[in-house]
Amino acid sequence: MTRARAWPGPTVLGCALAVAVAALLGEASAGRTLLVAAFFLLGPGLALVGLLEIEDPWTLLTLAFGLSVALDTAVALVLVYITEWEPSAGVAVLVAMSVTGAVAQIVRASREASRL
Amino acid sequence: MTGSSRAVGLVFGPALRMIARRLAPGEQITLLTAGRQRRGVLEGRATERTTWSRPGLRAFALTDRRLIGVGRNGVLELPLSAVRHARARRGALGSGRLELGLPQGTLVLDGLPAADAELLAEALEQGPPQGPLPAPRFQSSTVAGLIPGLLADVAMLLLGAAALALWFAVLHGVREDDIGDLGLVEALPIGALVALLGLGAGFALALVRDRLGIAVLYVVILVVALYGALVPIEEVTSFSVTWRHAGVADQIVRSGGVDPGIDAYFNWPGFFAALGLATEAAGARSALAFAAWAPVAANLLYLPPLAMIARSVGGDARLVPLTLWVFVLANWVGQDYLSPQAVDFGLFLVVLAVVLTWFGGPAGGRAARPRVARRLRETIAREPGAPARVPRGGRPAVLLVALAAALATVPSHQLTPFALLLVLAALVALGRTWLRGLPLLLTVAFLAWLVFMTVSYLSGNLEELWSQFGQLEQTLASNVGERVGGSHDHTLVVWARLVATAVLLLAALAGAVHRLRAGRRAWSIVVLLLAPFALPVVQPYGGEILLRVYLFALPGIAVLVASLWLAGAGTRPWRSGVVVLGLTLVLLGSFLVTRYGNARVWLFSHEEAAVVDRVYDVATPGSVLIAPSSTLPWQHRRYAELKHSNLSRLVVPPGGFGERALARAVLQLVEEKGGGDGYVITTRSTRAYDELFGTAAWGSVARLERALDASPSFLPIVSRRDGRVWVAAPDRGRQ
Repeated sequence: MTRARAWPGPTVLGCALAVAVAALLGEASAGRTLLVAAFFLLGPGLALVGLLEIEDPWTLLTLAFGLSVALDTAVALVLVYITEWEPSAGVAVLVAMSVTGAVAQIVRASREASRL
Repeated sequence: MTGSSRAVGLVFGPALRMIARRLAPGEQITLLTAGRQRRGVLEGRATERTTWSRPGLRAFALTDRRLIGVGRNGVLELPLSAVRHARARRGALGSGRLELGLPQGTLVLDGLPAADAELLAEALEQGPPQGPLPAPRFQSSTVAGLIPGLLADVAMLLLGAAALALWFAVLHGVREDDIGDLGLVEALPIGALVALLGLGAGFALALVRDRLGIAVLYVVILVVALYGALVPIEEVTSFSVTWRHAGVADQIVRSGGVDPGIDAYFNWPGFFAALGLATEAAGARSALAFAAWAPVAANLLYLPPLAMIARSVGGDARLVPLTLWVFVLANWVGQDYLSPQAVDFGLFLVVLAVVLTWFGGPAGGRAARPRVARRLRETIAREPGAPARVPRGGRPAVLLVALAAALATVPSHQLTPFALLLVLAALVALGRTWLRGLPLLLTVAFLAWLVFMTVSYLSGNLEELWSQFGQLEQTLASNVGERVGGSHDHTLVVWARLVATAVLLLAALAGAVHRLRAGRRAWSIVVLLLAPFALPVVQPYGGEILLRVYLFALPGIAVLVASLWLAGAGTRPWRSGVVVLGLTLVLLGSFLVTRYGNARVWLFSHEEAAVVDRVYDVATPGSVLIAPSSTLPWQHRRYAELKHSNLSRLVVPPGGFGERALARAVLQLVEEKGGGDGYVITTRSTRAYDELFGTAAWGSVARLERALDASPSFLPIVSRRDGRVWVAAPDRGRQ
């Protein structure tokens, strides 16, 4: 496991859980706004693109940004056009996707580490 | 074991172990060199792995049979029998350059420590050793130079941090009222200019010393400094369109859906729905919470795909940070605020980065075409694509990401899918990508969205949209001619924009010619540069299409200008540094004028925001809010519940309005909009708009205020220094 591929999983997991906890408990703050912005712009994409084992950080961030915005837009449009507007459900879907991808990355990393 | 050899072991251990693993039984090392390759430029084609261009720690072992090199890109192995000659020369920026004559041509390893290059050349020229082998020699040029190098790196980092701190410290002292018609530049204290000089010098130094990671860090610092410049100055969120966009997101959140009948925004609601979702997740009262740092975030997110695009042309590794630097200094068009076009431009870059990195290069198949077109296409298509490592999951995985990004542009913005389609179609038509299906899919998605999701908007506006198709003269007039005007200083700003744009475009074209004449990859970037120029044929886009053309062409401009810059920098470090610093200062000066030339009308005071908010608190549903121009902090609340209008809709009689006639015309506008109360709002920023852009055909804000004060049909309800409000009372006027 290279250094470039080691950080996305834990980072996304921490960020996604923090967004979820803040949504349940937290008051609005500048820190929460920054966290949510970072999560929406990179989180879901990084969770899934991290599974592609990309070493190059430019490539990783490029694909993570593109996929994150695509997923955010898709989830938001589904809420607007197809279902009732339930923002908490939309955030839960994005957090669930991110946590799943991040956990998969972490599990794979630990398996590879145990093989070495 | 000496301290020196311990250090060598620590630093070069992995590389040396890789060499040891590759040695055949009985193979003996005669010379071992280890150093930090300052810059890797590999010219010629010696092996399949021709991407040996990443700088970093590198080790070479000369054995009795082979030359083995281990670096960040992998391993290079050359049998001694293949090396016809070896020469050490002065390389780029004072480094050593090893030229190896091989059957396939000359392999050039540039950026090596000079002593290593000389030793290797000497040993290789002697050929395989005859008789008993000499004792192995070890050369390390790094250990001695490691500490001074580290100190220099730390000094560069401190310089960047200090420049950033100084920049924001002095900007805190700037007040909105200090900004005049030339924009932010005339309010900047000398400390700000010193900070920018420090940033330019630090970047030039990092580039000359080939510390490309630090150079990229300087790009990040520059983005934060330049695009966050208004944050310490603005009292409330700046730029009226940002307030409107927050209002659209607020409308979606409050209504829980989209009503396409409201306006065009609700026919392309992708960005606003996502913004509403993020606002709810942040627990914020308004999407304005994201606005202040949006330009910084957008420009930081543009950097990775832009770096991939720059890297796709290969060659000098310095091209990447220099391209990013040029982009940041040339992106004056200000489309990176909290807006769908800001996010969609990022997606535009992502798709092109993926296409040029993994799907670039000659396309297969040859359709029948006219002879000249076929020859041109074959010339352009012949150029090889970028060699790039395919990630796990293969090309289909990255293609899916690109497809998702391309499709995500469709429901968010009217213009970006058009621009993306044009560039992709041009890349396919000229054989620069073999992804023929992507533009086709994008076309289908775009048409499907138009047909199924925007019917109500198109049915009401189709005639107007169609009438603008192909009207190039009108486009040029609304984009250029009508913009050159206003106050003397503002006219200077407009001319500065025109000149800066023209100079950068010419420099990009010169860069393209230079690259092509030097036999370097450039055609894909030339397509990126030129394809967006077909957009004005479609429509003038509210008089902004040339701004958008420039924005969409900017990735191509940045790569080609950076390429020309590198060519002009030469190989001598001092000359390279002076060229980089000099051009940086020119572009910085230009950026501050062109980007922030309109800052006076972008910035709002607490008081004017409070005045406008007061109207939103008291207005009954269906009321109409009228302002002289749209440059005020409004539309952020009750977006669909209240009507908003400005006086540009007034039909001006020959000879203009007298004060009474102006009040009557405003009252008539209120009654036409009907349904509730009518409020007229003037603010400090609408007065500034008058002074900056010139008085409108209906009259000035000062005349409007006099007319409303004198009219019995309007009652003043708020009167502050930075904002005034009148409520229409038509019945009182008729009494």
